[in-house]
Amino acid sequence: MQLTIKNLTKKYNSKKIGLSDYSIDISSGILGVLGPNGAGKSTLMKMISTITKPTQGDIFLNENDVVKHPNYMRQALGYLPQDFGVYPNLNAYEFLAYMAAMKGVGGKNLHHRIETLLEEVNLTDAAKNQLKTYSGGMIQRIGIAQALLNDPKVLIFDEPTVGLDPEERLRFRDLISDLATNRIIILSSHIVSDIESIADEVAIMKKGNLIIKDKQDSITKLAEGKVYETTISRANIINFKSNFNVVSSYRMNNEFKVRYISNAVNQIGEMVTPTLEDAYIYLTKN
Amino acid sequence: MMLQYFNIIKGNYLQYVRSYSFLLTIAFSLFIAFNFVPSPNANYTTVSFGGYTGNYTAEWIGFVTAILASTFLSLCGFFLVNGSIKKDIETRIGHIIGTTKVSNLTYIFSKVTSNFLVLLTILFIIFITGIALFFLYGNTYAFNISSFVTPYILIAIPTLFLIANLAVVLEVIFPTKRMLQYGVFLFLFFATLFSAANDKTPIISSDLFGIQYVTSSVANEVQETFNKKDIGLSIGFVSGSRNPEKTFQMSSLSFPSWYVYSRLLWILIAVLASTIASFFFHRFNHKESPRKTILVSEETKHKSADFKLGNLHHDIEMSYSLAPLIQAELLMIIRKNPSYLWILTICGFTSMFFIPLNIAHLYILPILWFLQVTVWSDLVTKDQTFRTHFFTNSSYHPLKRLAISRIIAGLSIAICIALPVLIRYAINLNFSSVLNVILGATFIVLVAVFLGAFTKSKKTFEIAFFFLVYCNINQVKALDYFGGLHHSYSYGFLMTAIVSVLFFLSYLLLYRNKTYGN
Repeated sequence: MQLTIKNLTKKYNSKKIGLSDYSIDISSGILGVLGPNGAGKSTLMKMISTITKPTQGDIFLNENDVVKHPNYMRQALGYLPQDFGVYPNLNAYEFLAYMAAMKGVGGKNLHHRIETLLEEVNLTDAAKNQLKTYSGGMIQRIGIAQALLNDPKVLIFDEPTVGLDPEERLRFRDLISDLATNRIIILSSHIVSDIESIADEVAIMKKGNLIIKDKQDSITKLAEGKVYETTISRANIINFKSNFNVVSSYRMNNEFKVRYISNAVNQIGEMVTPTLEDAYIYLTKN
Repeated sequence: MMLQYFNIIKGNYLQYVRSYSFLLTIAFSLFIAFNFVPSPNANYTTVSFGGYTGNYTAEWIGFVTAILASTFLSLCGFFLVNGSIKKDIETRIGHIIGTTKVSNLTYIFSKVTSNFLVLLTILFIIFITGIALFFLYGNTYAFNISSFVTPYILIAIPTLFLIANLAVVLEVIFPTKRMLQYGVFLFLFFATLFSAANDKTPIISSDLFGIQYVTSSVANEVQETFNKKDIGLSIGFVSGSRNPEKTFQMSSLSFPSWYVYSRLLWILIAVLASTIASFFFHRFNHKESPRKTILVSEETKHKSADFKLGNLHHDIEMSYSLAPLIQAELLMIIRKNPSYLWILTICGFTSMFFIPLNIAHLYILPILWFLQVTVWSDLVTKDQTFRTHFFTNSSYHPLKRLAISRIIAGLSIAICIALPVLIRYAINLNFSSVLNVILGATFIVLVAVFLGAFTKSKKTFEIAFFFLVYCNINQVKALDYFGGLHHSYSYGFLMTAIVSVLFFLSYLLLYRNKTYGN
């Protein structure tokens, strides 16, 4: 599987640009997409999933032009949007059957596949209840189930762990790892740890541009020698945060243990080994 | 406190006036205002007294536009402003509002005021159009500003204030039952209108529209002028009833103090109703009623999802049949309407087998179709409402499969409801009428699709459909889309052409909206 994005641009109007001259090659495996709010992650996801048309540029899936022939992508696509809803008057089974019909999936195995999916997302008991009675977490699980209905070759997950409990988040990561063989999985998240543990490659975006796309190790190396940890008194913490690029701070009695990034050498505190989160902060805030 | 109140009103009002539907509202207002006062060559009347209409004086135009605004605009206006609380529920703004310091009373009255401002905006357009029409048609008469303005202040404005309140009160009483809100409103509206027409007591009366006294005064004037008795009043678009020879010079209306107090009393009643409603306002907590709580086992409640892919090794078969899509759409349609509406529909459906065919066709059928208004208005807008557009827009051939299946589902419901009429016409070998009813069903479903795709809102269709039903019951020939008044094949051909154009335009709009358009 090969997804090629060439010079993709999305302009909403003359002032607002969602994505600017974006190019990237994505092969089978898991690509984690990181970026602050407004970086263009969801815009990119919507264009790959054929919901929005790019202003300029091309998207090719296995050398097929997806912009001209969106149904080629749609047949292979499983998409979990960031903020989606459901038809409240359908129950879980009916909703999945409807989604399957939309995707052009049918046949004698469909019934069994839906039942298995419902079991795996722990909704079998509630399958006969109309979706208007479901909680946010249950809706998120229905969203995950619908994305897998058509055995997709391209899976796009936009903030997939919202609404899942901590145990489910861990299992969901395992699910994504299991799915990655012979599939392209694009995983967008604000939560670096969701991506850090499973992504083969990471793409970091900022203001509609791709800053970097590489293996996690290579990205992490960019922040080497720039990450420090020190302890700051409670009285000075606000002043410190305004002067330094703080990644995290933990309160300990009347002091704060602070992890921060600085380009300057001989900074206060101890230099530490950078993580993906450090590199992400370093690349997006500098 | 007051600043907070005005900021909410400003927000609500700005949100409305910046919407696309506001532009349509202005266009619609101009259209109805222009038609409220028939041109000298027009062959219809909107207000007449025993066939007599007034000369184009400021008194007559002010009177006609004000009483039509009080009745007709309040009827359409209700549908326009109703749903403002629902919008806060749908956009989830309600959850934020529910946690703020804004009191129920402030919130309810901010909604009332916003509704009132929207209706006043339309009234203002009617007012300006009325003045323009005076100078267009009646420029030989002197323009008496007070005679023109007073009916607006005393007749139309209090009624619109009542409607603004009623729209909110009904939303509070039936928060999730839109058809029930419509039903109760229509019952109140027509019951009040009927009661007002028969109320001869000149003291504070049940006439919330404020038209009984003024129409009686004008009727008396006509009786005295032409020395006739029992001059009947006709309000509404009545075609072919205009006689340019039967005109009279209307004198300025006088409003006695009891009339003014009566209007003030209605305003007070409206304020009181909204105040009482604010005590029962759900404050966006209505979904947590116990009967809607999901019943799952304790084990399910405490078990996390496994997400084990090992169990998902089934062969996938592709199937591009429309049948499962249509089936799901029909299921959603059937579940959308509350059971009482289906009971009403079944009663009406059964009655159409037995009552005279022309009554079944002319009156029962359009009303039964109107009961499906929320179903059809949802056909192409529900994905925006439920935020499922990500799924539908990325589905396989959304336009050829999904949109078509929705149209077929909507049409199936329309034709099913019309079956008694269709069967009876077929038995009578009246196949042109069979064709016209089927074309009418197709037309109304496609209007829903077209307006939904064009405005991306369900409200436009709901108001347009109501307007159509009103005209159908009043037998306006030009709007007889379902062949109630036309039974020829030639009319069928005309409707076929209209339906084809509508389908083509709807297809283009859906193409723009759904597939790679935005």
